[in-house]
Amino acid sequence: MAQERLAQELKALLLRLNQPQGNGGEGTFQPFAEADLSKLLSLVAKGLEPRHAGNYAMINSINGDYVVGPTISEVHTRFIDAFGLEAPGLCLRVGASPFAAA
Amino acid sequence: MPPRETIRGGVDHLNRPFVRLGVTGFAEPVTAFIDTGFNGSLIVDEYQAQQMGFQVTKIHSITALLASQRSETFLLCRGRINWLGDEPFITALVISETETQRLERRRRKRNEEVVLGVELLINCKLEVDFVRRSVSITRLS
Repeated sequence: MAQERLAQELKALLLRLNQPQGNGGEGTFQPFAEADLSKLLSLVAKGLEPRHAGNYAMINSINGDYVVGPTISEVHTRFIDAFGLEAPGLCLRVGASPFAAA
Repeated sequence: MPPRETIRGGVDHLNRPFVRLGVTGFAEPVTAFIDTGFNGSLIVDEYQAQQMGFQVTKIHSITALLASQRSETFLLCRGRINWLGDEPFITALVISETETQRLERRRRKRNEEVVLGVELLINCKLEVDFVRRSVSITRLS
């Protein structure tokens, strides 16, 4: 249920973020505002945490698809293999920071 | 058995372990500070990335949570480096800053400086001797 709600939230956010703006025309990608970006990353991280904690995820910011890998280099390579060099992507570490625990 | 490749360095006046790396695009060796709390490969600035022939993809970024719990965003770039007799293809993190900020940051520095993380230390032995102020990285396999 929580996963379903998360998926809905993510979908709604992506739809809103990818709305064409200004004179860009249909389908033109607009960069995310910093606040939107943080929310998107936190939503993705929450959804990935049960299975991929400690790994890195890189999300395609056009369509919300993502790849996961154990290192930054590996996840970046997988992202480019999957979506091409031109696809905008955001990388983040899944799960709590190793420094978060006392 | 083939000879083991080793990179040597030292511990600076601020007690930071470093090695000197011969890097494509720089006449002098680059000082690489070793950060064992960073599990990526390298942190460079945009100028350094360009000199190294790395491809800086400004549409690829990473949001990293630092030890201070502050969140910081870096760009990602890809390329090959000379590393212990090999040329691995790596993704490096690029500091996001203006030219003015870079000049200010580099004002009192003589050498180019980068941060070296543990991704490049896999299959290596890292020895830091704070008494003798020496550092060595040896490839084991």
